[in-house]
Amino acid sequence: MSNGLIITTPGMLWVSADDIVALASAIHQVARDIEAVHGVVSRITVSERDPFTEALRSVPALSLHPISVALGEMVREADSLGVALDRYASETADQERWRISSWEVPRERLLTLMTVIVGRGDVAEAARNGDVSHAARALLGNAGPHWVRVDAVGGGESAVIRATSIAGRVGRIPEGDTPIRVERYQTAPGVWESDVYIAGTQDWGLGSSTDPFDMESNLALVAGVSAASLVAVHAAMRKAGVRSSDRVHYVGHSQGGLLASRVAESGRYVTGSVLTVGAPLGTAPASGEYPALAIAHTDDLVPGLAGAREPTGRTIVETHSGSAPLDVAAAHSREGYLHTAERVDESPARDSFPEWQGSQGEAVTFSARRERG
Amino acid sequence: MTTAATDAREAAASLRRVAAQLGAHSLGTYWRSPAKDACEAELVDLERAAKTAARKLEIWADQEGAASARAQSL
Repeated sequence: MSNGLIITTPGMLWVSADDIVALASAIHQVARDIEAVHGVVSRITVSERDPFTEALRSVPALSLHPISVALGEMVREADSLGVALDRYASETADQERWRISSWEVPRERLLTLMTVIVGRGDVAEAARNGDVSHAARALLGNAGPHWVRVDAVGGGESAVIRATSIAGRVGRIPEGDTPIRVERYQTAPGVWESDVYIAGTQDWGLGSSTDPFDMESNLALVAGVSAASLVAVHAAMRKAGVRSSDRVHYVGHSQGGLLASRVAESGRYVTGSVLTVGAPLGTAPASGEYPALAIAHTDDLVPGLAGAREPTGRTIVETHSGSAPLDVAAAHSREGYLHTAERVDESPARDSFPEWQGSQGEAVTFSARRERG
Repeated sequence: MTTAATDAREAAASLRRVAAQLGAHSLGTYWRSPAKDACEAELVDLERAAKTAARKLEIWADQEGAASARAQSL
Protein backbone atom coordinates (compact mmCIF):
# COMPACT_ATOMS: atom_id res chain seq x y z
CA MET A 1 0.00 0.00 0.00
CA SER A 2 1.37 3.41 -0.83
CA ASN A 3 -1.30 5.05 1.32
CA GLY A 4 -2.07 8.16 -0.64
CA LEU A 5 1.46 9.13 -1.59
CA ILE A 6 2.24 10.79 -4.89
CA ILE A 7 5.40 9.24 -6.24
CA THR A 8 7.31 10.82 -9.10
CA THR A 9 10.15 8.84 -10.53
CA PRO A 10 12.32 10.11 -13.38
CA GLY A 11 10.05 9.99 -16.39
CA MET A 12 6.74 9.21 -14.75
CA LEU A 13 4.19 10.40 -12.23
CA TRP A 14 1.63 8.24 -10.58
CA VAL A 15 -0.73 9.00 -7.80
CA SER A 16 -1.51 6.06 -5.69
CA ALA A 17 -4.75 6.09 -3.80
CA ASP A 18 -4.84 2.33 -3.72
CA ASP A 19 -6.15 2.18 -0.16
CA ILE A 20 -9.26 4.00 -1.36
CA VAL A 21 -9.49 1.80 -4.44
CA ALA A 22 -9.18 -1.28 -2.21
CA LEU A 23 -11.98 0.01 0.01
CA ALA A 24 -14.16 0.69 -3.04
CA SER A 25 -13.60 -2.89 -4.14
CA ALA A 26 -14.49 -4.15 -0.65
CA ILE A 27 -17.68 -2.06 -0.65
CA HIS A 28 -18.72 -3.50 -4.01
CA GLN A 29 -18.27 -6.96 -2.44
CA VAL A 30 -20.30 -5.84 0.59
CA ALA A 31 -23.10 -4.84 -1.79
CA ARG A 32 -23.07 -8.36 -3.29
CA ASP A 33 -23.12 -9.90 0.23
CA ILE A 34 -26.12 -7.81 1.25
CA GLU A 35 -27.78 -8.68 -2.07
CA ALA A 36 -27.35 -12.37 -1.22
CA VAL A 37 -28.90 -11.78 2.22
CA HIS A 38 -31.73 -9.87 0.55
CA GLY A 39 -32.34 -12.86 -1.71
CA VAL A 40 -32.46 -15.25 1.26
CA VAL A 41 -34.84 -13.01 3.23
CA SER A 42 -37.18 -12.47 0.29
CA ARG A 43 -37.49 -16.27 -0.13
CA ILE A 44 -38.37 -16.94 3.54
CA THR A 45 -41.93 -18.16 3.88
CA VAL A 46 -43.74 -17.79 7.17
CA SER A 47 -45.11 -20.91 8.83
CA GLU A 48 -48.82 -21.22 9.32
CA ARG A 49 -49.90 -19.54 12.52
CA ASP A 50 -52.79 -20.25 14.81
CA PRO A 51 -55.04 -17.17 14.53
CA PHE A 52 -56.25 -17.54 18.12
CA THR A 53 -52.67 -17.53 19.58
CA GLU A 54 -51.67 -14.67 17.31
CA ALA A 55 -54.63 -12.65 18.57
CA LEU A 56 -53.39 -13.04 22.17
CA ARG A 57 -49.93 -11.62 21.41
CA SER A 58 -49.06 -8.50 23.36
CA VAL A 59 -46.58 -7.39 20.72
CA PRO A 60 -47.54 -7.49 17.04
CA ALA A 61 -45.50 -9.92 14.96
CA LEU A 62 -42.59 -8.32 13.14
CA SER A 63 -43.07 -8.35 9.41
CA LEU A 64 -40.23 -9.41 7.13
CA HIS A 65 -41.34 -7.05 4.39
CA PRO A 66 -39.85 -3.82 5.83
CA ILE A 67 -36.58 -5.65 6.53
CA SER A 68 -36.49 -6.89 2.95
CA VAL A 69 -37.15 -3.36 1.68
CA ALA A 70 -34.38 -2.02 3.93
CA LEU A 71 -31.94 -4.64 2.61
CA GLY A 72 -32.78 -3.68 -0.99
CA GLU A 73 -32.07 -0.06 -0.08
CA MET A 74 -28.75 -1.05 1.53
CA VAL A 75 -27.66 -2.83 -1.65
CA ARG A 76 -28.30 0.35 -3.63
CA GLU A 77 -26.49 2.47 -1.01
CA ALA A 78 -23.45 0.17 -0.95
CA ASP A 79 -23.24 0.17 -4.75
CA SER A 80 -23.54 3.94 -4.75
CA LEU A 81 -20.82 4.24 -2.08
CA GLY A 82 -18.51 1.97 -4.07
CA VAL A 83 -18.94 4.16 -7.15
CA ALA A 84 -18.41 7.30 -5.03
CA LEU A 85 -15.17 5.87 -3.65
CA ASP A 86 -13.94 5.00 -7.15
CA ARG A 87 -14.70 8.56 -8.20
CA TYR A 88 -13.11 9.92 -5.01
CA ALA A 89 -9.87 8.03 -5.66
CA SER A 90 -9.72 9.43 -9.17
CA GLU A 91 -10.60 12.99 -8.10
CA THR A 92 -8.10 12.85 -5.23
CA ALA A 93 -5.36 12.15 -7.73
CA ASP A 94 -6.46 15.08 -9.89
CA GLN A 95 -6.78 17.39 -6.89
CA GLU A 96 -3.32 16.56 -5.63
CA ARG A 97 -1.82 17.26 -9.05
CA TRP A 98 -3.68 20.58 -9.09
CA ARG A 99 -2.60 21.43 -5.55
CA ILE A 100 1.05 20.83 -6.35
CA SER A 101 0.91 22.99 -9.45
CA SER A 102 -1.09 25.71 -7.70
CA TRP A 103 1.40 25.98 -4.86
CA GLU A 104 4.27 26.83 -7.19
CA VAL A 105 3.05 30.36 -7.95
CA PRO A 106 2.27 31.36 -4.33
CA ARG A 107 5.70 30.16 -3.27
CA GLU A 108 7.40 32.37 -5.82
CA ARG A 109 5.13 35.24 -4.80
CA LEU A 110 6.30 34.68 -1.24
CA LEU A 111 9.91 35.15 -2.26
CA THR A 112 8.96 38.30 -4.17
CA LEU A 113 7.17 39.60 -1.08
CA MET A 114 10.22 38.83 1.04
CA THR A 115 12.49 40.74 -1.28
CA VAL A 116 10.08 43.67 -1.43
CA ILE A 117 10.16 43.80 2.36
CA VAL A 118 13.94 43.84 2.21
CA GLY A 119 13.53 46.71 -0.25
CA ARG A 120 15.91 45.71 -3.00
CA GLY A 121 14.51 46.63 -6.41
CA ASP A 122 16.96 44.48 -8.36
CA VAL A 123 16.04 41.45 -6.24
CA ALA A 124 12.33 42.05 -6.64
CA GLU A 125 12.69 42.33 -10.42
CA ALA A 126 14.63 39.06 -10.60
CA ALA A 127 12.04 37.36 -8.44
CA ARG A 128 9.19 38.75 -10.57
CA ASN A 129 10.90 37.29 -13.61
CA GLY A 130 10.79 33.93 -11.90
CA ASP A 131 14.55 33.55 -11.66
CA VAL A 132 14.81 32.59 -8.02
CA SER A 133 18.51 31.77 -8.03
CA HIS A 134 19.31 35.22 -9.54
CA ALA A 135 17.08 36.85 -6.95
CA ALA A 136 18.85 34.99 -4.16
CA ARG A 137 22.24 36.00 -5.56
CA ALA A 138 21.21 39.64 -5.84
CA LEU A 139 19.85 39.61 -2.31
CA LEU A 140 22.98 38.00 -0.97
CA GLY A 141 25.46 40.37 -2.59
CA ASN A 142 29.09 39.42 -2.25
CA ALA A 143 29.22 37.14 0.78
CA GLY A 144 32.96 36.70 0.66
CA PRO A 145 34.85 33.76 2.20
CA HIS A 146 33.29 31.78 5.02
CA TRP A 147 35.10 31.20 8.30
CA VAL A 148 33.50 28.31 10.08
CA ARG A 149 34.54 26.40 13.20
CA VAL A 150 33.35 22.80 13.53
CA ASP A 151 33.74 20.80 16.78
CA ALA A 152 32.87 17.24 17.71
CA VAL A 153 30.58 17.22 20.74
CA GLY A 154 29.80 14.67 23.45
CA GLY A 155 33.34 13.36 23.74
CA GLY A 156 33.71 12.31 20.11
CA GLU A 157 32.74 8.92 18.70
CA SER A 158 29.99 6.71 20.11
CA ALA A 159 28.87 3.23 19.05
CA VAL A 160 25.74 3.12 16.88
CA ILE A 161 23.66 0.59 14.95
CA ARG A 162 23.04 1.68 11.39
CA ALA A 163 19.54 2.96 10.56
CA THR A 164 18.08 0.74 7.85
CA SER A 165 14.68 2.32 7.15
CA ILE A 166 13.75 5.67 5.60
CA ALA A 167 11.98 6.65 8.83
CA GLY A 168 14.96 5.51 10.92
CA ARG A 169 17.20 7.76 8.86
CA VAL A 170 14.91 10.79 8.97
CA GLY A 171 14.70 10.31 12.74
CA ARG A 172 18.48 10.68 13.02
CA ILE A 173 18.63 14.10 11.37
CA PRO A 174 20.01 16.33 14.13
CA GLU A 175 18.48 19.56 15.35
CA GLY A 176 19.62 22.46 17.49
CA ASP A 177 23.25 23.11 18.31
CA THR A 178 24.64 20.01 16.58
CA PRO A 179 23.52 20.27 12.96
CA ILE A 180 25.81 17.60 11.50
CA ARG A 181 26.06 13.91 12.38
CA VAL A 182 28.48 11.55 10.67
CA GLU A 183 28.28 7.76 11.10
CA ARG A 184 30.98 5.45 9.71
CA TYR A 185 30.62 1.73 9.02
CA GLN A 186 33.21 -0.78 7.90
CA THR A 187 31.40 -2.94 5.34
CA ALA A 188 34.46 -5.06 4.41
CA PRO A 189 38.13 -5.00 5.38
CA GLY A 190 39.39 -1.56 4.38
CA VAL A 191 36.02 -0.56 2.91
CA TRP A 192 34.07 2.18 4.68
CA GLU A 193 30.68 3.70 4.18
CA SER A 194 29.50 6.89 5.84
CA ASP A 195 26.04 8.18 6.63
CA VAL A 196 25.92 11.97 6.88
CA TYR A 197 22.89 13.57 8.53
CA ILE A 198 22.38 17.32 8.08
CA ALA A 199 19.93 19.58 9.92
CA GLY A 200 17.83 22.34 8.40
CA THR A 201 17.95 26.08 8.99
CA GLN A 202 18.59 26.81 12.66
CA ASP A 203 18.64 30.61 12.53
CA TRP A 204 16.48 32.74 10.24
CA GLY A 205 18.79 35.73 10.48
CA LEU A 206 20.40 37.24 7.39
CA GLY A 207 23.99 38.32 7.72
CA SER A 208 24.12 38.73 11.48
CA SER A 209 24.01 35.18 12.77
CA THR A 210 26.91 33.13 14.14
CA ASP A 211 25.06 29.95 13.10
CA PRO A 212 26.17 28.86 9.61
CA PHE A 213 22.80 27.13 9.16
CA ASP A 214 21.06 30.48 8.72
CA MET A 215 19.03 32.29 6.07
CA GLU A 216 22.18 33.65 4.45
CA SER A 217 23.36 30.10 3.77
CA ASN A 218 19.90 29.24 2.46
CA LEU A 219 20.08 32.03 -0.07
CA ALA A 220 23.65 31.15 -1.01
CA LEU A 221 22.68 27.54 -1.67
CA VAL A 222 19.66 28.56 -3.75
CA ALA A 223 21.91 31.01 -5.61
CA GLY A 224 24.32 28.16 -6.31
CA VAL A 225 27.29 29.79 -4.60
CA SER A 226 29.37 28.72 -1.62
CA ALA A 227 27.63 28.77 1.76
CA ALA A 228 28.93 28.73 5.33
CA SER A 229 26.84 25.64 6.09
CA LEU A 230 28.35 23.87 3.08
CA VAL A 231 31.82 24.64 4.39
CA ALA A 232 30.72 23.30 7.81
CA VAL A 233 29.51 19.99 6.33
CA HIS A 234 32.73 19.44 4.40
CA ALA A 235 34.77 20.28 7.52
CA ALA A 236 32.73 17.90 9.72
CA MET A 237 33.11 15.07 7.21
CA ARG A 238 36.85 15.66 7.06
CA LYS A 239 37.10 15.69 10.88
CA ALA A 240 35.06 12.47 11.12
CA GLY A 241 37.62 10.77 8.89
CA VAL A 242 35.49 10.41 5.75
CA ARG A 243 37.79 9.70 2.83
CA SER A 244 37.24 10.46 -0.84
CA SER A 245 37.00 6.72 -1.57
CA ASP A 246 34.18 6.25 0.96
CA ARG A 247 30.66 5.61 -0.25
CA VAL A 248 28.57 8.28 1.45
CA HIS A 249 24.82 8.26 2.07
CA TYR A 250 23.36 11.70 2.75
CA VAL A 251 20.22 12.55 4.70
CA GLY A 252 19.01 16.13 5.15
CA HIS A 253 16.01 18.15 6.23
CA SER A 254 15.19 21.51 4.66
CA GLN A 255 18.49 23.41 4.09
CA GLY A 256 20.21 20.15 5.11
CA GLY A 257 18.58 18.45 2.12
CA LEU A 258 19.89 21.09 -0.25
CA LEU A 259 23.34 20.72 1.34
CA ALA A 260 23.13 16.93 0.95
CA SER A 261 22.30 17.38 -2.71
CA ARG A 262 25.17 19.84 -3.25
CA VAL A 263 27.80 17.66 -1.51
CA ALA A 264 26.52 14.55 -3.31
CA GLU A 265 26.91 16.27 -6.67
CA SER A 266 30.31 17.74 -5.80
CA GLY A 267 32.11 14.53 -6.72
CA ARG A 268 34.36 14.88 -3.69
CA TYR A 269 33.14 11.53 -2.33
CA VAL A 270 31.46 8.48 -3.85
CA THR A 271 27.75 9.15 -3.41
CA GLY A 272 25.77 6.12 -2.23
CA SER A 273 22.36 7.78 -1.92
CA VAL A 274 20.65 11.05 -1.08
CA LEU A 275 17.51 11.26 1.04
CA THR A 276 15.96 14.70 1.56
CA VAL A 277 12.83 15.85 3.37
CA GLY A 278 11.26 19.29 2.99
CA ALA A 279 14.24 20.54 0.99
CA PRO A 280 14.08 23.52 -1.41
CA LEU A 281 15.73 21.57 -4.21
CA GLY A 282 14.34 23.62 -7.12
CA THR A 283 16.85 23.31 -9.91
CA ALA A 284 19.44 21.45 -7.76
CA PRO A 285 20.62 18.63 -9.98
CA ALA A 286 20.56 14.92 -9.28
CA SER A 287 22.66 13.15 -11.86
CA GLY A 288 20.78 9.87 -11.60
CA GLU A 289 23.99 7.93 -10.99
CA TYR A 290 22.89 7.21 -7.41
CA PRO A 291 19.49 6.70 -5.77
CA ALA A 292 18.00 10.04 -4.72
CA LEU A 293 14.69 10.30 -2.91
CA ALA A 294 13.03 13.61 -2.05
CA ILE A 295 10.02 13.72 0.26
CA ALA A 296 7.97 16.93 0.22
CA HIS A 297 4.68 17.86 1.82
CA THR A 298 2.30 19.56 -0.57
CA ASP A 299 1.36 22.07 2.16
CA ASP A 300 5.00 22.82 3.05
CA LEU A 301 6.12 26.13 1.54
CA VAL A 302 9.85 25.48 1.82
CA PRO A 303 10.37 22.86 -0.94
CA GLY A 304 9.11 25.43 -3.50
CA LEU A 305 11.21 28.36 -2.29
CA ALA A 306 13.99 27.51 -4.70
CA GLY A 307 11.67 27.98 -7.66
CA ALA A 308 9.95 25.65 -10.07
CA ARG A 309 11.20 22.10 -9.99
CA GLU A 310 13.24 20.90 -12.92
CA PRO A 311 13.19 17.26 -14.06
CA THR A 312 16.06 15.42 -12.40
CA GLY A 313 17.16 11.89 -11.64
CA ARG A 314 15.54 11.82 -8.22
CA THR A 315 12.41 10.07 -7.08
CA ILE A 316 9.97 12.48 -5.47
CA VAL A 317 7.29 11.52 -2.98
CA GLU A 318 4.65 14.12 -2.24
CA THR A 319 1.73 14.03 0.11
CA HIS A 320 -0.23 16.30 2.41
CA SER A 321 1.30 16.49 5.88
CA GLY A 322 -2.03 16.13 7.62
CA SER A 323 -1.36 19.37 9.48
CA ALA A 324 -4.07 21.93 10.09
CA PRO A 325 -4.57 24.44 7.25
CA LEU A 326 -1.98 27.25 7.29
CA ASP A 327 0.09 25.52 9.99
CA VAL A 328 3.20 25.92 7.86
CA ALA A 329 5.56 25.14 10.74
CA ALA A 330 3.98 21.73 11.33
CA ALA A 331 3.94 21.01 7.60
CA HIS A 332 7.68 21.68 7.44
CA SER A 333 8.70 20.10 10.76
CA ARG A 334 11.10 17.18 10.92
CA GLU A 335 8.54 15.31 13.07
CA GLY A 336 5.92 15.73 10.36
CA TYR A 337 8.33 14.31 7.80
CA LEU A 338 9.22 11.46 10.14
CA HIS A 339 5.58 10.41 10.09
CA THR A 340 5.51 10.60 6.28
CA ALA A 341 8.79 8.63 6.08
CA GLU A 342 7.10 5.76 7.90
CA ARG A 343 4.49 5.71 5.14
CA VAL A 344 7.19 5.83 2.48
CA ASP A 345 8.80 2.75 4.05
CA GLU A 346 5.53 0.92 3.32
CA SER A 347 5.28 2.26 -0.24
CA PRO A 348 6.79 1.20 -3.59
CA ALA A 349 9.10 4.24 -3.37
CA ARG A 350 11.13 2.34 -0.76
CA ASP A 351 12.21 -0.08 -3.50
CA SER A 352 14.16 2.68 -5.24
CA PHE A 353 16.45 3.03 -2.25
CA PRO A 354 19.28 0.81 -0.90
CA GLU A 355 18.72 -1.96 1.63
CA TRP A 356 21.16 -1.24 4.41
CA GLN A 357 22.42 -3.81 6.88
CA GLY A 358 22.03 -2.96 10.55
CA SER A 359 25.76 -3.17 11.25
CA GLN A 360 27.56 -1.48 14.14
CA GLY A 361 29.59 1.64 13.57
CA GLU A 362 30.66 4.91 15.14
CA ALA A 363 28.82 8.21 15.23
CA VAL A 364 30.06 11.74 15.79
CA THR A 365 27.94 14.85 16.05
CA PHE A 366 29.30 18.29 15.33
CA SER A 367 28.51 21.82 16.35
CA ALA A 368 29.22 24.56 13.83
CA ARG A 369 29.87 28.24 14.37
CA ARG A 370 30.39 31.04 11.89
CA GLU A 371 33.47 33.13 12.63
CA ARG A 372 33.77 36.46 10.90
CA GLY A 373 37.14 36.72 9.20
CA MET B 1 -36.34 -24.30 14.95
CA THR B 2 -38.12 -23.83 11.62
CA THR B 3 -36.32 -23.44 8.32
CA ALA B 4 -37.58 -19.87 8.09
CA ALA B 5 -36.16 -19.01 11.53
CA THR B 6 -32.86 -20.73 10.70
CA ASP B 7 -32.62 -18.83 7.39
CA ALA B 8 -33.37 -15.57 9.17
CA ARG B 9 -30.67 -16.25 11.78
CA GLU B 10 -28.11 -17.08 9.09
CA ALA B 11 -29.05 -13.91 7.19
CA ALA B 12 -28.65 -11.93 10.42
CA ALA B 13 -25.21 -13.50 11.02
CA SER B 14 -24.17 -12.55 7.46
CA LEU B 15 -25.28 -8.98 8.07
CA ARG B 16 -23.30 -8.86 11.34
CA ARG B 17 -20.18 -9.95 9.41
CA VAL B 18 -20.85 -7.25 6.81
CA ALA B 19 -21.22 -4.65 9.59
CA ALA B 20 -17.94 -5.76 11.19
CA GLN B 21 -16.21 -5.50 7.80
CA LEU B 22 -17.59 -2.01 7.28
CA GLY B 23 -16.53 -0.98 10.79
CA ALA B 24 -12.97 -2.18 10.21
CA HIS B 25 -12.44 0.02 7.14
CA SER B 26 -10.96 3.46 7.27
CA LEU B 27 -10.20 6.08 4.67
CA GLY B 28 -7.10 7.11 6.59
CA THR B 29 -6.26 10.48 8.06
CA TYR B 30 -4.15 11.99 5.32
CA TRP B 31 -6.75 13.25 2.92
CA ARG B 32 -9.24 15.93 3.81
CA SER B 33 -12.11 16.88 1.58
CA PRO B 34 -15.91 17.17 1.69
CA ALA B 35 -16.08 14.16 -0.64
CA LYS B 36 -14.13 12.08 1.86
CA ASP B 37 -16.35 13.24 4.73
CA ALA B 38 -19.43 12.25 2.71
CA CYS B 39 -17.97 8.81 1.94
CA GLU B 40 -17.09 8.24 5.60
CA ALA B 41 -20.59 9.27 6.72
CA GLU B 42 -22.12 6.84 4.20
CA LEU B 43 -19.82 4.11 5.45
CA VAL B 44 -21.01 4.68 9.03
CA ASP B 45 -24.69 4.81 7.91
CA LEU B 46 -24.30 1.53 6.04
CA GLU B 47 -22.69 -0.16 9.02
CA ARG B 48 -25.51 1.05 11.29
CA ALA B 49 -28.18 -0.09 8.80
CA ALA B 50 -26.58 -3.56 8.58
CA LYS B 51 -26.60 -3.89 12.39
CA THR B 52 -30.21 -2.71 12.61
CA ALA B 53 -31.38 -5.14 9.91
CA ALA B 54 -29.44 -7.98 11.61
CA ARG B 55 -31.11 -7.19 14.95
CA LYS B 56 -34.57 -7.11 13.36
CA LEU B 57 -33.93 -10.43 11.62
CA GLU B 58 -32.84 -11.98 14.94
CA ILE B 59 -36.03 -10.73 16.63
CA TRP B 60 -38.08 -12.00 13.72
CA ALA B 61 -36.36 -15.41 13.95
CA ASP B 62 -37.13 -15.57 17.70
CA GLN B 63 -40.77 -14.71 17.08
CA GLU B 64 -41.04 -17.10 14.17
CA GLY B 65 -39.48 -19.90 16.24
CA ALA B 66 -41.88 -19.28 19.12
CA ALA B 67 -44.94 -18.99 16.84
CA SER B 68 -43.98 -22.14 15.04
CA ALA B 69 -43.55 -24.00 18.34
CA ARG B 70 -46.98 -22.85 19.50
CA ALA B 71 -48.57 -23.85 16.20
CA GLN B 72 -47.06 -27.33 16.51
CA SER B 73 -48.19 -27.73 20.12
CA LEU B 74 -51.83 -27.02 19.27
